[in-house]
This record gives sequence, C-alpha cells and structure tokens, in this order.
Amino acid sequence: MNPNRFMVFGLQGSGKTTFAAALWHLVDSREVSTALVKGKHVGDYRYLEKIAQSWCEGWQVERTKSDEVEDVRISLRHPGSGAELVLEFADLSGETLEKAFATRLCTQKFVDLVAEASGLLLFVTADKFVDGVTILDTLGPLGAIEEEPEGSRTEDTPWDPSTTPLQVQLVDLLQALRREPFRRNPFRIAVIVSAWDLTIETSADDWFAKKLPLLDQYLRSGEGAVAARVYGVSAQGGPLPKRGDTPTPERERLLSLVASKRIKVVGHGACQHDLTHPLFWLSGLDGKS
Amino acid sequence: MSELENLCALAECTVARTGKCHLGTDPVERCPNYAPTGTSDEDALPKGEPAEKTVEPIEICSGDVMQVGDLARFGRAHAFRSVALVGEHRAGKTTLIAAIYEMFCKGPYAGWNFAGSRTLIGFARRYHLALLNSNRTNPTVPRTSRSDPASFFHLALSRSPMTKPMHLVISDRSGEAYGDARIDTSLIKELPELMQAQRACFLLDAGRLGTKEQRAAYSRQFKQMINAFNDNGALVNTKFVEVLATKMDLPRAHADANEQARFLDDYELQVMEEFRSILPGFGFYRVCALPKADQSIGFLGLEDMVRRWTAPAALPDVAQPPIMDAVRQIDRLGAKWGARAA
Repeated sequence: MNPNRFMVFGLQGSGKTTFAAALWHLVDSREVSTALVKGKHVGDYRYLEKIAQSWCEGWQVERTKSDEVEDVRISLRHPGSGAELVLEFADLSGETLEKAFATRLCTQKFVDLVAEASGLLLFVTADKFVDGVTILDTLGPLGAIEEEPEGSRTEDTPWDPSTTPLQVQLVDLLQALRREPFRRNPFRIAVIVSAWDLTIETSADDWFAKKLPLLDQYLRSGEGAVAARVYGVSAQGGPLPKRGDTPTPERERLLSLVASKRIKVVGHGACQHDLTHPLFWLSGLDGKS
Repeated sequence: MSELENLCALAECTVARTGKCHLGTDPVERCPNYAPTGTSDEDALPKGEPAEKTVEPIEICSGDVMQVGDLARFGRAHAFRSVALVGEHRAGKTTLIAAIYEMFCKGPYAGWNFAGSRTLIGFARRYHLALLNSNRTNPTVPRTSRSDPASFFHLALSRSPMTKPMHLVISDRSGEAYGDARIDTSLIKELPELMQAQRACFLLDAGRLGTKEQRAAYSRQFKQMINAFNDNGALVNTKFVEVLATKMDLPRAHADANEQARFLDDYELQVMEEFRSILPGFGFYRVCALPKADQSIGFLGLEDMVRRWTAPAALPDVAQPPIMDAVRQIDRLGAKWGARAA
C-alpha cells in the first residue's frame, strides 16, 4: 500500500470531474501557492487536458460518461518533505459505486484500488440538495392522513435502490469497505462539498451535519474513518453555462480573474484557493489528526 | 466496470443498473438469464483468436437483514443487546423499526450517534414507502411476509469516537406467525428470536383497541399471547418484558377520543396488575412511530424507548452470599459480624 495514494469516492454528479479539472490547472499553472505541488509529468493526460481546457475557458465541465475514461491520476509532491502523493480518480463517472450499491457487485479493479488506497476524498454536492424527505415532512405539524382500511391496500411498489437517500447509499458503501472482499481498516476521509458557492452556510462542517446527518455521525463515530474533515469547495467559482449556451455576466466576471483564483476552498485553515489542502491533510504530512 | 453491464443475457434487462430483474425474479440470482458466463458472440470468435478474458464480478456484503445463522456469527464477534418485537399482524413492528432508522437518519438520537449498521439495506427497504420520492401520499412500510423467517436489524451506536460502539439487534417477523403460535403453542419453539432476546416487547395496537367492535376479543387475545409465550418458556431468558401500545395517533384523532383514552388507561392497569409480578422488568409504554392521523402527537415515546433499550446493564451482584448454618463456630461468628456490619 502506498502511504500517499488516495482514492476519490462519490456518486454521479457530485463534482469530481470539475474538481479534477480545477486541480489539474491549479497545480500545473502554479498561479497561486499551494500546500502540494505537481509531481512528475508522466502518463496519459488527454482526458485531464480536455476537461481542464473547458474549465479554463469558463464553461461547465461536462459530466464524465462511464465509457469515456478509464483512469485519471494526478501526481503531487510535498515540497517540504519531497513526499510524493497520488490521487486516483478511478471512477470519475460515479457509476461504479451506484452499480455496486444496486447490485452488490463490484470489480476486482475496484477491490485492488481500495486495497492500495491510504485515504479517501469523498464528494457530495451542495447543488439542489434534497435528500430523504418523507411524506410526513411535507405535511406540517397539523397535517393528518387517514389510515388505510384493512384490505384496501394495493400492492407495494418494489424497492428501487436508486431512490435510497444519498447519505444512506454512501454510508452503506463506506461500510462495505470494512467487510469482505475489502476488509479495510478505517482511514482518513476528507469530505468535499462541491458547488459550495450555492450555499448560504459559512461552515462546511455545519452544512454537512445538517444535510447529511447519518453520514456525518458515521464518519465521526470512529467506525467509518480514523479521522474525517469537511471542506466546502467551489471548483468553478460560480455558476457557469454549458459550452454553446449564451455566456452570462457571471462567466465574464470569473474569466476576468486569474483562473486559479476562481477556486474557493473553505474549512480547516485551507488557503482560499488551495484544492490540495484536503490531500495534504489526508497524507498526514501536516502532523495533525 | 464495463463487465457489470453484461449481468443479464436479456438486452432490455436493467439489472446491472437497478438491481431488479426484468422478469421480476427475486432474488435476481435465480433468474436463468442472470450473470451469463458467455455470450453467443464469443462462440462466433474465429478459432485461434484468444477470447476476451471474462472477469467475474465480486460480491460485496448484502447489507440486508440478518437471519438466525448470521446473528449467531455476529454474536461470536460482538456482544449485543437483543430486542424481540412480538405482536399480531399490523401491530406496527416493522414501522417501529423503520422509525428508529429514520430518527438516526435525521441526526443523533436518544443520546447516541449512529456508528454503522450491518443491515442498512434492510432498513432502507422497509422505509422506502415513507419517502416522498415513493410517489405515495400515504406513508407505510412493506408488509412482512408470513413465509419470511425471523429477520434481525442491527444498529451500532456510540456515545463518542473514543468509546466502543454498543450493538443493538431488533428482531422482526410476520404477525401471523405470532398469532398462530398463540393459538397453537407447539409453534412457539419455532420462534428462536424470543429465546435469545434480552428484552421482549409485546406490541399492542391502540387503534384496534379503540374500536368497540374489536376491543373485546383483541384485549383478551393480547394478554393470551403474553401468557402463551410465558407459559411455554419463550421468555425464560428475557430480562425485561414490556408492552408497547402503538399507533397512539389513532385514538387521539377519533371522534370519541376521551372514551378510547379511558379504555386504554383501564386496560393498562389490568395488564400491569396481571403481569407485573410474574414477568421480569415489566412495563407498559405508549409509542407512536408514524404519526399519520395526528402529526401533533409526534414520535411519542420513541426516544424513551430507545434509551430504555440501550440503558447500561446493571452490574452483576458479586457480593458473597451469607453463610447459613455454618458447621464451624468461627464461620458462625463471621456471619454474625457480617450481619451486624450490614
């Protein structure tokens, strides 16, 4: 197991691709100082270049399709110690995890990835966040529903895994890593709340505890992770149009900035634009738990 | 993960994405088209061409409810608290379990933090019809099938990251099975969940008890069920027995709510009188796990119930028993001194 090899974990649309694009530009351009710098430039960077190009030009980075890309890997280095780190985006589309949740099957490749990882970057998005709302929640305190008379009940709709609340899916998948065939001891987990610019919260920890309380409890219980941190990240800096759509004034504003300064990171003393800070913490190189 | 896309021989089947068989086979592994080992295209490969290596998908833990065997294996590795929910059909056993899961989905509850569950999928399956995205207007839980064996739900709960979690296991079974065992007590031995439960909870449907037409028979049969299980040794290992009057929203929403409340009060007195002295740690509590008929009642009694179920166990009494009629004079003297000191 590489002591500094981290995997990315998140369902579809959780902001992994935009994060990858922004991180690649950030460490490649060196426009702002960061806790970690780019490592050796060795490998196939076609996909990273494609999404970073889109990001630089101020367009929404398109969601990754499962057949589009196999692996994305970013090598990083800690300038102080010279330690090398690797961030693996092996499931950029997020479909591997969704299928694993629904079918209870995964690939040997995924098992190997987990075995080799020493920390995890967990993605959730603050965009359009509604999770696990119940029918009773919508009734209000004085609402009432009549009891169904016995015998009148129609056939129950079968359970559809995809309708399970996101936090339940993520807890289930993280728990699965502790059992066969993975049998992983808990590791550090850095939670990235993407699209952070869309929230009105100031603390990523508070947002996370409020919006995903089951996952928050699990990660902080000591069972799910040896330590967990939550970062709010806006990798785009604000809402951007899709390529081909009419450019917006917000896009113009963002384009007028130094590209790396569009990035916003909140939490745990991270510098304002430093996407590498969560990885720096995952590595334990900061000496903090 | 492309190898997962060929989980079924039928092109239209979406099992790889949704986990559901196109032909409705459950479990999906029983479907003859599931997980094909090869395709006709492979046969068409020209001889001498190396066939593409088939990678078998790897199974991960099911996350569904535990069966008796699973619980035995779990028990070898973990100490756990075991609660058996007993009650007639539609008494609210599964609803109660789903409500506890819901509470932890909304945050720490009853002084505990959620620290994991071996049966998270089992909970999610029981709870999905209460969610807004189920497209229902009336929340409910799926019916527990009569043919299903006892199932066990697990929760790991912790006070802080520094302490080891406490494991709570709650059993569920169809109400018909308990109803049958009440009438034919030879069936009680087929209910192993009761023998290993530290706490047995008999669920009393307050809605049924409030119906004048049903209350006479139901109130008699409810007590009969407790007696049947007690007289046939099913409660011999339980340290606590409690009655949980469920669906407390129903009597309140009824036109003759006061009369129903009086009847329930009287019945509680009767039950307490009858069982307090013969059953260990006996208590009568009122709960509402799905306040549909009257939201203002809230999740009545649920938090206290979880606190009771998870309260620290009393320390065992390790004091030496007093010596009675000792043979030696010195021991008699010692016993006297001990009694005086006490």
